[in-house]
Amino acid sequence: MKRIILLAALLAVSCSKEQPPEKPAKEEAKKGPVNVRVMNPWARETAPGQTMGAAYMTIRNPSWDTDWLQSVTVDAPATAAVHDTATANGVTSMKAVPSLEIPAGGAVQLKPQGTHIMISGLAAPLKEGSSLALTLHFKGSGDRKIDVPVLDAASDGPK
Amino acid sequence: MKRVRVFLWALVGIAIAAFAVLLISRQNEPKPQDQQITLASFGGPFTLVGADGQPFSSSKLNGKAYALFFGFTHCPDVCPTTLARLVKLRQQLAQVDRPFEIVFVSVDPERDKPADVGAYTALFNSPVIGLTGSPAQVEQVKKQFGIFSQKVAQPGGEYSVNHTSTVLLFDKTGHFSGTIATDETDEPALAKLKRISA
Repeated sequence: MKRIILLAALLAVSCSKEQPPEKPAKEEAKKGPVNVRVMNPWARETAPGQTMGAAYMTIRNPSWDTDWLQSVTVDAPATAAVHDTATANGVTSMKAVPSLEIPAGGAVQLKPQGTHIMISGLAAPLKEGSSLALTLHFKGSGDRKIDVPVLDAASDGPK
Repeated sequence: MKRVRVFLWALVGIAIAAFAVLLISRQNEPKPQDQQITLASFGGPFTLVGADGQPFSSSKLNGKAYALFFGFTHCPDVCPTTLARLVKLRQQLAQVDRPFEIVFVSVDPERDKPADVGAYTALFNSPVIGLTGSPAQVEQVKKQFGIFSQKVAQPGGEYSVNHTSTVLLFDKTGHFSGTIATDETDEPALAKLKRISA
């Protein structure tokens, strides 16, 4: 018990530079020392009848341990998974990424024509101005619930 | 001494002969206009179906420069990104109202009906010609433009399509002018689009 309190206190102190001291202590003690942050999420609007969409974001890992994004959940009936877009010899293909490594002290950018979260089985189109609820499941950091703003199709990111 | 001289003159003779052969062989190489004819046979006239469900003949593009892109409406990432980029670059070419047409052809005609390509191209708030057709029509056009596509099953019964994502550029005379690669940066892409719009 003493060790957990000491660890939480240490973490709270080390994070106090970046965040207000009263916020994180409870959050970090939940699941290990890793604590990734999801920043600037966005998704493109989709057309009626289009059942697949994509979400992008930056995932930052300020801690000293590597973390992994292992799965993503979204409201049924849709499903979500991390995919990599790759182009070779002019041909573009997508490959599922079962576990996305977020390096210690680093960040991973999910962006157009690169790694992205693919959402399949959308029951209704994503409308510009609305918001898509996603839960990212990390091995070390646990769950991150995010609201992804839906931007217009011609967009290339949040301003 | 005499033998050395003869030998040296023989070398000179060989050198002259080799040079002559080189000159003659260069004259027999295909001339530039021959190569242009080969380029123009890439592509060619085609008929597909427009977003309004009516037949769309490529003759509608006569006299217009266009950027041709093959994709599918259920494409979550590369297709909307590429079309959005073409729209953005066209807006940067302020010279004329609509310097080039953007043409989107579906390689997924089983799923993409005319209404689907219509709804999809309407997303970009800028004129994009969306085309689909019967599987046979699309196969024919794919062949004409050397486009590859392949269905890949996804969990949940859906499928995505691996496909050639290079943008093909055609100038106002209908000749193939070049390509924009998927990962090409904006600057060279804009230069190429300026050239076909000239």
